[in-house]
Amino acid sequence: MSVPLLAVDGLSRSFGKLVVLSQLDLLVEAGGIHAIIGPNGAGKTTFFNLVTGALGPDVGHIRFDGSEIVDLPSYRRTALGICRTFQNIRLFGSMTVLDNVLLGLHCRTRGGLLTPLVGVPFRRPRAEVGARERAGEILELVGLAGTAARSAVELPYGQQRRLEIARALASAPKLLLLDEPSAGMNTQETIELEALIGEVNRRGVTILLIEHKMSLVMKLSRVVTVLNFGQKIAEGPPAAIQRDPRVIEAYLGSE
Amino acid sequence: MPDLAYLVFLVADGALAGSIYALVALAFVVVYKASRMINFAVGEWTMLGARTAAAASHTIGLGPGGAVAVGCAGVVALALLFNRIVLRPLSRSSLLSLIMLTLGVGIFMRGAATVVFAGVPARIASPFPLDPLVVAGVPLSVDKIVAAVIATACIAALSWFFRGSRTGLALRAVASDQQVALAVGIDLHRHFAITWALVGVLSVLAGTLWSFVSGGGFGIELLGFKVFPIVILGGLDSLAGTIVGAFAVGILESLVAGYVDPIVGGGFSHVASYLVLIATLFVRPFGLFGRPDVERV
Repeated sequence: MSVPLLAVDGLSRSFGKLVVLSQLDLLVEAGGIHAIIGPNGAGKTTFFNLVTGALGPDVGHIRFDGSEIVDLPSYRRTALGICRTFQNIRLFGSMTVLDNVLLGLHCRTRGGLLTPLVGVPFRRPRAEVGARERAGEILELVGLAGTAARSAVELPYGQQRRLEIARALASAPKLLLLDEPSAGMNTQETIELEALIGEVNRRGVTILLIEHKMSLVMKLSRVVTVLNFGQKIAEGPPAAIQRDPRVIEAYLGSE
Repeated sequence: MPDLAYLVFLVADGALAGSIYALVALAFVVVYKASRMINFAVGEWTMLGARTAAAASHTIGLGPGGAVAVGCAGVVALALLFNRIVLRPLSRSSLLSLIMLTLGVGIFMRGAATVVFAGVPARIASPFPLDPLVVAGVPLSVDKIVAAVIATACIAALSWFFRGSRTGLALRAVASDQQVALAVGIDLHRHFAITWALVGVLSVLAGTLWSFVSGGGFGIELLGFKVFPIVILGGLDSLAGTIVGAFAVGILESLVAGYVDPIVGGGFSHVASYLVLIATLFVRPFGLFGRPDVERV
């Protein structure tokens, strides 16, 4: 295995007496697509929350790109190159598509308190012009070119998912965490999503994916980690995971 | 004065007052939007703004402009300190306790102001002529017009700030969904601080302008109560609605003072906006411009 981009060591988190994640070790290889699967309540989303800093762990270490990040606030982790999407789409609904992407770019554009964005009578600073060009490129990449001025809530469901990915990509992540990106998508949309994730990965973004659709997991990922009741029960290439008796038991129950 | 001219006078006079209400209401709404906190001390902040500027004027001997600048620096510093020392450690406690806290802070500020500013005049002397300006037979007081112009300029600047600057965009993101704002890399604490700095500036401007037109610091805290009919009318989460609401309340008060007060013997203008508040809550509990999912005061 090459250098891990994300190295998680002994990570635990409980809510009251409920242990959601217990002593999790996980390595995410740089440049790959890594999937996390597991039954509902296995601790997958909690794991994402711990990696992005939305939650703090009870114990454990998270190393990203060689440095310890477990004590850093969320926004610092985003600056280092970790960004996520949410299981339930969470866009800034009342804003335009472009504003959503510009917010993703917020941490990458330098500017003072009053740096103007748009529509001001005096000249726009170079950084913001660059930001808008970059936002346009990202929208094109995810297939949302031409929707920039629309309000985010007006987009159809599949496109809202794409916009969430676009917003995350705007922060120029090294590691992109996708929380069930295909949830609620039909077959056609899932195939398009698969192509998009593949393309993003080819551009050098390491992807960590929570997913229930096995077809997507099997096609995309190099490594699959299986969680059950907060513990890792299996890890390996998708083909091996599919045959693993512990995994089959976790999903179907033992006889 | 002929009937029509009297009506125009009342509307104009009310709109001029409304522009200052708008500043106070905006100080309230920026905090609400960023953190869902209802700041019951907004009137006290305005009082503090007026008195700090007045103190700068009377003790250092600055002119109105300089006094307002020094006042802004002082109150912004206090607001930032309040945010850092009081609010930030409480950021995980319930909204209800924060709201109660603002009530306590308001009382503390009133008490402390009488001690700290003891013996210092409560207002900057108005630099504007006292004789009213007569436009087409309608007398308008100069200080009110100037106050309205300054207030309108501030409102325009603030609207631009929220719509057109990158910080404004980030503030709107914080208002929309804190968790997602965090996830895209926005430093919440930094933006809460910016919000409180805005409260500081708005307080000094609104307080000073109000002391020009009302002729003294007396009862300036009560200005805070005007905020509630305004934001209920305009919708708690809408900046544009807040501005419309402020003008509506100003004009309503003026009309009621002009037409109803002489009949009932006075004082009804102070009540009228609260009747509208109650009526609005019955008809559109989320305000005329607000979205339905908003909490009520």
